[in-house]
Amino acid sequence: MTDAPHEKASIASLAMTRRMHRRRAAETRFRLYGRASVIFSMAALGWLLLSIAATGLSAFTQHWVDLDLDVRAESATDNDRRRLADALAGGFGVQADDAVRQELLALVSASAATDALARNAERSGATLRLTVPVSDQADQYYKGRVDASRPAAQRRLTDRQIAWLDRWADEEQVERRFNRGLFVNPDSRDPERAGLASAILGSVMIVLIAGALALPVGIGAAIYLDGFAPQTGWGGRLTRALEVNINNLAAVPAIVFGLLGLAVFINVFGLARSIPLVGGLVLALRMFPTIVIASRAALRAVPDSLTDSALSLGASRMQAVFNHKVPIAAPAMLTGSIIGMAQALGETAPLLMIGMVAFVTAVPESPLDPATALPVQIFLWSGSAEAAWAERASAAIIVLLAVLMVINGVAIVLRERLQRRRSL
Amino acid sequence: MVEDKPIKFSGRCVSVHYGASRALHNVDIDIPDRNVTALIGPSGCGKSSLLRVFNRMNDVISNARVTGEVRMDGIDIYAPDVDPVLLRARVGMVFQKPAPFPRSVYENVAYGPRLHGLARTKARLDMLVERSLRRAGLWDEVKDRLSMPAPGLSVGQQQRLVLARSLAIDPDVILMDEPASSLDPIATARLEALIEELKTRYCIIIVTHSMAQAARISDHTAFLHKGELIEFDQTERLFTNPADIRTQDYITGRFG
Ligand SMILES: Nc1ncnc2c1ncn2[C@@H]1O[C@H](COP(=O)(O)OP(=O)(O)O)[C@@H](O)[C@H]1O
Ligand SMILES: [Mg+2]
Repeated sequence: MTDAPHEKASIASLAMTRRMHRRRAAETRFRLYGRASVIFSMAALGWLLLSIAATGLSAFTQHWVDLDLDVRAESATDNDRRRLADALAGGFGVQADDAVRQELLALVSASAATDALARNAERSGATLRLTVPVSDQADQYYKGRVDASRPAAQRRLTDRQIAWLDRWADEEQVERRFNRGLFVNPDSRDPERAGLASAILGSVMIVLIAGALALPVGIGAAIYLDGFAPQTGWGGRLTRALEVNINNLAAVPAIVFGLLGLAVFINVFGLARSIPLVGGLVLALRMFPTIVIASRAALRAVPDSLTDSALSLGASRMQAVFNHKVPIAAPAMLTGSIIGMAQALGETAPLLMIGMVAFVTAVPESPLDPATALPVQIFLWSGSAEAAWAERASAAIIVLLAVLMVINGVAIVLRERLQRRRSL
Repeated sequence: MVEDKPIKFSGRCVSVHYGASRALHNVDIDIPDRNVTALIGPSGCGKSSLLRVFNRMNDVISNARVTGEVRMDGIDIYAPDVDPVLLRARVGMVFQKPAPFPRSVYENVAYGPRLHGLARTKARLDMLVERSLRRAGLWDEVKDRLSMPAPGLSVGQQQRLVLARSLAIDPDVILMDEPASSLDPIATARLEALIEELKTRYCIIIVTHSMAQAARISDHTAFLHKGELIEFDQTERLFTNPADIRTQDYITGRFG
């Protein structure tokens, strides 16, 4: 203590006060680091979501055009494309030559329109009213993604095409609709007709198959390892070796599981490539260690005093474990399992290995039909440079994220329910 | 020892090993029925290990091995044809830290009877639950909230609840492993009064680290030291006139 006259009586020495200042400063710095890292990660996540939403949200709507086609008898050839082009030319009142036809056909989803024409083949000669999606380039134009002020050589629509599209818009023939096709159509070569049906169904089947296999086996294995496996002697050594290997399995890169699936399920058992059954089997292997580890941790967290009490009351080991350990561990086991399923849903590499990267234009009806999966579809679509494909890839990402959020939400609700029931 | 009461347990050459290490060595002991027997000794001397011999809870510990002969009412409880699950239905146990199941008070007490099919009807089960809670001196405190979660009770109440839980399976014997170690003095006094009451019906074996408690509540006391049974006698005699110098050192507080 100093005896300087101006110094107030203090509860601590000067040295201690000074040290306290340093401790405070350290704490303040740590708080700042913490806040900075939280802000940084939130910003990164926000930027990611924003950029995906900015490109992808527009894919949930699509422009359709009402066409009153005068399909005249004299232009009726076997060639639907040509009939369509002629009718479009008639609508705009232009003379149809090959170049004009080409440009006209690029305005609408030609394949959708010719399909519709073919369906109405017997009505040729009359005026035909068709409502079809516009082509991907026209759609991008209507969504404001084509800069008409740029020189024509730098855009995919000619001045003439833009004039035609404007005319449709002026005559209110164009309507922006919810893009149902994104959910009900399988993949297609034309972006405006491409949908996620095959991918969504494929993913659902894969995850259901993987879950149906990995959940009971994984949870059962965890319960066995926790409560029943031998702990001493050679049996105990085996148990520990098993546990170490399950932990190692969880660290094996996913693509290796794909190779395993290829070698075992496709080459040895002769299952087909590209089918959800094989995908589900492979991802079941992938999920298994995650589920075992999560369930083991959940079971270990239950105090032994509960099972000991039950045993001392004359419960068998089975009763002690299933009456007192499993119910308490259930919420955490469930959460771990659902996280495993969510991981499986986002898994891409092993599916590429077993050929689920194929171009599938049919909606799968069973796990034995070729299908893709959502992450693989994203991979496929994001490989194309056109704006329409980029838009759809982002839309597929949004769908995948939404599904994951729903799954996690369900996990949280289930966990809360179980926990509330446990605490009566 | 001159005994008027029948012998409940008789152990001969009982040893307990954990892996390679020996926790209890060649213990010979005769525990009388309807009596309180206290096991005392410094911590780590094997009191809990000996207690767990009587309901074969050592079997649950993966590396534990029990040798020697233990008879309950003359029957070898380590014989191959004896199912430890059935033995434990007759030998109840109260642990050091009360571990009520995270269920209602009622469900806690009803668990044992349900396991063993002791009550055919709901009315009979209600009666069993009430009787057990009364015997454990808890009925008046919980009779209006039988459906409340048991972990919400105070620790003293929890300890009596787990006692009621083990009484509900109608055992002959109650083993208690330092049951008062987490209780406050008032709850401890209640528990001791309860033990005094229960010994008219049950054979009670209690591990305690409190010599005062052993002196207060037990009729017989066993002193263990380093895994050996040093002395076993009537409590009064053991505390006033110990035969072994180690017992004397321990009860006069010279070690442990
Ligand atoms: N599960 C176990 N595994 C290994 N050693 C144990 C185990 N339980 C007790 N022991 C050892 O056995 C000895 C006696 O323990 P215990 O019977 O619990 O003593 P006390 O109850 O008298 O304190 C101690 O040395 C203890 O470390
Ligand atoms: Mg002990």
